[in-house]
Amino acid sequence: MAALAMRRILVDRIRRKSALKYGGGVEHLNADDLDLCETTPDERILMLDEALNNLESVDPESTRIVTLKFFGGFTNREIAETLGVTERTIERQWAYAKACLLEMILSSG
Amino acid sequence: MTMSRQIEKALFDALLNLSDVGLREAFLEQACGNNTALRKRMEVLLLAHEQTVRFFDMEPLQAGIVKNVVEKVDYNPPEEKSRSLEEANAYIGRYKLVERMGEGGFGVVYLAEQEEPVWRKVALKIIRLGMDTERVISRFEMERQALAMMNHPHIAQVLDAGATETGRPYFVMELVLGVRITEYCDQHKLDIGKRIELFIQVCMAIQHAHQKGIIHRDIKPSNVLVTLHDEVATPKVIDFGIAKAIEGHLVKEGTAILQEQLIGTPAYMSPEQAETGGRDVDTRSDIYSLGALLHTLLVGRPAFDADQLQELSVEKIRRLVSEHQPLPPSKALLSLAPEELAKVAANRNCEPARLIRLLRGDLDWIVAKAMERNRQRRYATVNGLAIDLQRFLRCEPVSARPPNRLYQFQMLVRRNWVAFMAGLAVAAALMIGFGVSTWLYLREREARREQAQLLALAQQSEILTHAAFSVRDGKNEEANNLLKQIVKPPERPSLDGVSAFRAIGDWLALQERWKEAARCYVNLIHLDQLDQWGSVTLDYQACAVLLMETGDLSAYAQFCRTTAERYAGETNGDAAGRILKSCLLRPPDADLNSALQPLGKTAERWFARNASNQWAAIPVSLWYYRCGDYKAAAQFALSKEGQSDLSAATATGCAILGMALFHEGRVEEARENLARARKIVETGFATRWGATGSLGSWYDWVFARILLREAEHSFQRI
Repeated sequence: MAALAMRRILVDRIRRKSALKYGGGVEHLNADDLDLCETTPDERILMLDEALNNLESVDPESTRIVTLKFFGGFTNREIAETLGVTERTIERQWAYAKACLLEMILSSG
Repeated sequence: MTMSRQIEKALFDALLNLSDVGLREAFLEQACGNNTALRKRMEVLLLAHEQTVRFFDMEPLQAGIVKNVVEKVDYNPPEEKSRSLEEANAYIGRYKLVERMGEGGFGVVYLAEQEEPVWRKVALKIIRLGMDTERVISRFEMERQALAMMNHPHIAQVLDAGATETGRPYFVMELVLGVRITEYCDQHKLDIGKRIELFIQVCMAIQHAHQKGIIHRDIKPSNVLVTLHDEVATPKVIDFGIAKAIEGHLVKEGTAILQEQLIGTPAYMSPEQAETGGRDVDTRSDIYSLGALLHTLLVGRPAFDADQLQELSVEKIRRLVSEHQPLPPSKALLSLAPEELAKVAANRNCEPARLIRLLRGDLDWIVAKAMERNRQRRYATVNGLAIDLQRFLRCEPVSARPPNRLYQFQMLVRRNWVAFMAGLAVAAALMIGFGVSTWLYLREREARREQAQLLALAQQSEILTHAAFSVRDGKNEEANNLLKQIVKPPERPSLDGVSAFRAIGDWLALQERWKEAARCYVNLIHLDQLDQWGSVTLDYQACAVLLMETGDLSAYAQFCRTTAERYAGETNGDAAGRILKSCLLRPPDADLNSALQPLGKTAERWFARNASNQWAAIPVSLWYYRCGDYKAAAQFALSKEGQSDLSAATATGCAILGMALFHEGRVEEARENLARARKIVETGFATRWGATGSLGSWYDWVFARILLREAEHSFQRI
């Protein structure tokens, strides 16, 4: 729960910051136009958030892992304990989730 | 999750395990067969996977998230990079970072190792907010010198200070591995006495720092750790002066940095800190925080509920801290739920009921005095607080208590005279040492000046104590001489002063040294007003009488004015009566008359319920007389009680009756009553009223005499 909250708050803040900087709403970041190495962490988080929203409907499990790990900062072990599975499972799921999301980000726009 | 997704995941995982590209190809071939869509998908995923390392670079991003969301600081990417850089290189100055210990209000604390000149482990604190390096460093240098000069077993030493390559300032401190004092006490189930002993040691440390001119500003449980030093539990205060060193540089325009990050922890912050944002703060601020800490040690939770504070905005916190008077410890305990109270008591190794009893009274007073919203009413020095606590431990009366009877009080003086003087002497002696560098000298001089002011205040108390002591020994003339030294009216409530002034004032009055007595009583009234508890209205009466006797009519008028205003709202009938009659020794002018109206009414009500009491009759009948209602005045002047005896009250009643009758035209009766009054007064004075107290104290007699004089004077003008 806390991790979700953090994610929402963080994205909000970044959006607001960008709005201040660029004025008006934040446009959807076009992944094609961006070289990944040059994105700022802010932008990455926004992209990630969007991708997560999309992923949620098809793969809630992966979404959850990412939210917990990335936004909540929990270790694999902590997540494993919370969800009642092995650490190895979490590692697997985390790897898969990352790849999925990145694929979504790269292919969107 | 759909079947296809599950398959995807399984395949993905399997593929990752195969590091050899050729093997992967083969596997894909096998697993996907004709399913080109699946195969494509897996290839894409694998590609993406390679990129994930860069995209999901966890450390900086995550650190940023934590900071951004949890600590409300402006998200600042360059800092993030430098921080992970620091962690990567693991060297700051000549200190090697070993492990991250935690995050505080301003920065991160690392466990570090120092190699030159001597190997030891230290605590290194990096201040996080972006600041102007040079300015900050030079300031740090000075602070560091000052802090380094503090050599006290209970203060964590600051060893070094500097700036990282990226320009962030850091402090190197003596590593204190310990638990918070609150936790320590709970873990070891220390009883109240032991907790206080531990706390007194903390006080000593803070006092030491104050004499060096350093205010901590952020005293709270997490800054007072308890470690084991040679098997002995030793408290250590950490983070000294750091709050101050940083404070000057946190003002960034526009941003809410200063707003949102209150320096200090709300629950332990003094009202002046909350209000001014820490600008107008002195050593007494630390005393407040110490009081709050003591409260927590005694009660198990802070005086201002931390949870409650989390919810509030900064504005509200400020207002709450500066306006709200927290519950005293014993009452705070009562407000806990039974299970909580049981837990708190268990942690203090005693029963709930007994715990409350223990805290009620002296400890309540001590905490309240330390946490006074008005800093002039707090203990002037930490020493004062410590000494009071020591008195408590020795079951002796404590100075924070409200006034008591003269006799008991003189006992108190005798018992504690030595301790009090000793504390002052030590403080004075300690203040004589100077630092070497000019800057330190100046700084210390300023601190000394401040301490000297406080010392002067304390000295005034000392004189008063000395005087009370002399009174006890019967050396009244000596006491009088001491009291003459108090030229300015005393500024702090003082039990010594109250008893000394009153005793000497009385003694002088008995010798008819009216002027000197008046001076004593004026000072006494002043003290009475400083004290939130006493409306010692008998003193006002005595003062009124004295001022009249000295013939200083303007002083008397002034006295009446201020007193009437002050007590206009008095609800206690007895007190109202005394004030009223004190102000009516002469016919009042129009202003005074209207000011006295409310008192008049209160006195009437009182009299209605106490019609047989002569003391209650006097204010009322005198009031009627002054208002011109002679009939009523005559009617009420003498109560049933007053018909027969020879007290000053009766004499007064007769005098008033006489005057009233005279105005009614009943001259003969008037003359009789005046004669009677004169007889009583003469007898009373002849037998030196001091000998017996039951017929009236000296001021009652003088009061009667004044009225009698007035009566006879007007009588002669027929």
